[in-house]
Amino acid sequence: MFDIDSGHRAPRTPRAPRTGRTLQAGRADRTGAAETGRSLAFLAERARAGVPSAARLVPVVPALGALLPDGALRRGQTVVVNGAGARGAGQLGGAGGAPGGGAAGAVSLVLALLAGPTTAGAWAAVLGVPGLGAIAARDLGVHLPHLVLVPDPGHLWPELAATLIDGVDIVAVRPATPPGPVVARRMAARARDRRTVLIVLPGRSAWPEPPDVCLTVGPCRWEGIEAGAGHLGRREVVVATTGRRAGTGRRHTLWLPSSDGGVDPGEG
Amino acid sequence: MLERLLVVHCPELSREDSGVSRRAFLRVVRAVEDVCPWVTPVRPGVCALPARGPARYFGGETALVDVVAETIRSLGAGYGTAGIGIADGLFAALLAAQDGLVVPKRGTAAFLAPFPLSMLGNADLATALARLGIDTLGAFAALPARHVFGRFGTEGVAGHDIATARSGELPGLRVHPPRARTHHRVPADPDMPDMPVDPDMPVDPDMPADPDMPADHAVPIPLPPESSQPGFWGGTDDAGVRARWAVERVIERIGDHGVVTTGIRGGRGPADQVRFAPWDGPGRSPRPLSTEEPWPGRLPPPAPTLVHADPLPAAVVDAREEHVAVSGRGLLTTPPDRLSIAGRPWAAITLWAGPWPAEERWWSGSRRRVARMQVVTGDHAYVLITEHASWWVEATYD
Repeated sequence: MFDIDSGHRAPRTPRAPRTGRTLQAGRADRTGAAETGRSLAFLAERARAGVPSAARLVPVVPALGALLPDGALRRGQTVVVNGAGARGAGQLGGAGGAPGGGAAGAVSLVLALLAGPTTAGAWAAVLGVPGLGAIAARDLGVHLPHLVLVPDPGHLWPELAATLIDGVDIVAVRPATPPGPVVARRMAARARDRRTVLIVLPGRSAWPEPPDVCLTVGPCRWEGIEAGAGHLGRREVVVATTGRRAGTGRRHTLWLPSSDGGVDPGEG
Repeated sequence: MLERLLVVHCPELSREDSGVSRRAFLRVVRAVEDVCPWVTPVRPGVCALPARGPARYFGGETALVDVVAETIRSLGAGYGTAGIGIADGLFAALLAAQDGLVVPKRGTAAFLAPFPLSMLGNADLATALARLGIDTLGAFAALPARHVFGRFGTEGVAGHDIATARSGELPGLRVHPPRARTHHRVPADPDMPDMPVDPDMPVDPDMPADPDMPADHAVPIPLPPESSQPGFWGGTDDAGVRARWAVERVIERIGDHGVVTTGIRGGRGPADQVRFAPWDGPGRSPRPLSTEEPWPGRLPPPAPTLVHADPLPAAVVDAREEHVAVSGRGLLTTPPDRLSIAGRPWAAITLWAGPWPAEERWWSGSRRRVARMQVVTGDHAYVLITEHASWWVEATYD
């Protein structure tokens, strides 16, 4: 019951028909013509646009909508969030446990992603991020009573993540040990099966399974601080969206955090 | 490394439905508490305590067992015969107590090896392993962990961790006694004075009143918060119920303190402002406290996303590789140029601000003079704290 190797495949998402014609041919003889025409037109429109049903989407704060292919998180989806310089020799390199993880901005972006869903009543869990800043989380919009933290899961992280995927709407995990391909594939399948959003912060280790969406924080620029004066004010980051479901790469500029600690769309 | 635990097992006092049995067991717990701290009830008739400190105090683990046994004997007749044992982790310590054994340090896996697999309380797992000819914990422990995960999943890993003495906790080992009386609330943890106590907290309607139970015996044992709120879940939504269910399974696996919620309180440094409280259930978060007050010396927003409970040692030098310090007047002795954290390669400091001196109470509780500074090295930004010319990374803007 605990295992992520549950032995059965995730049920296939019913695919939206590709064209309106196929739909009409299949259904028209069973329902009233006029009504069918209208609802089929709607369905066909939706199928063409590739818009998933609203029930499968988890809204995020407006500033982040543009980053995501569906304009929101989608239930069952795996999202990988890489920080700036994730592949370079970061100042605080090392496996995900090290602060910064050699990848700036990833934790802020994950917290910002959790803001919309937790405010709307969803539950979120963050595994493997010790010392998560509660004030930063609150200022980014996270509803703290709906945030559960497992700061130090150690080598148990796959098991505990799998357990949380069963019951929590969004599970963000920073692997304490490099994830193997089997673990990654099963975890993604379990998230799909349980309709849970799985967010992975791979840090310096890679996530071996191609994610639905991959958000990579690019160069960061701080404002408000200069040599010996001012203080850290706001940070401009460029976030690139890639991944299986994301189509061609897109780049968006964000203030993360903005000067009040929240997240705002950038001017760029 | 598992904690050395001493377990006291009173088989005659394990009847949960008997007030006499419960009261007698509580007297045993209190008596043991008089000689050793941190006694926790595990289930009716069984309590455990960390053995390392008391063993050192009493001159060895065998001596500690004698002291505890003598303490229980001195209560007089009517408490039955207590089995006392010491081993690594709760699972092995429970077995050791039944045999009255002190399992030597690091000998726990060997001690467990001859026990049958049924001890793990997972019939499916035992059946599956029996087909492979594996019928003892020792034979199970000999399987490589990664294969166990692939073949038997996480329940298999849980059992395997027990068999190899990497874990002592298994779901079902701890059975928290129900709260005895509705009007005796568990006393608040003195270290967490801000934990909200809800006067309308729902009570467990199934708990039978026990007329022969004196009031002062009602709640002698502080229980973990999540077990102290029976019936709380009644009004929560479906998502909350599912979340609780998942989180409680995580707690069963790694213990009360492995799962936390965050709260916010006043204070100057980032670490002072964040409080982690053990998971207390959906809808309950430590009350946010006066975060909007303009604390002198408090860093202006935005707040760092990572606050290091143990600040990381750092070194800050100027362009001529001389160490940077903060003078008695609160000024930097020389402009900072490069930063190295925990002995890692130097990174050029591109932007910095501060220092902001602060005089505050820190870990020790004594007053100390510290100063803080914000620095940016390329993509990364940190809060540094300095005292006596030493630097630490206190927080990171990840």
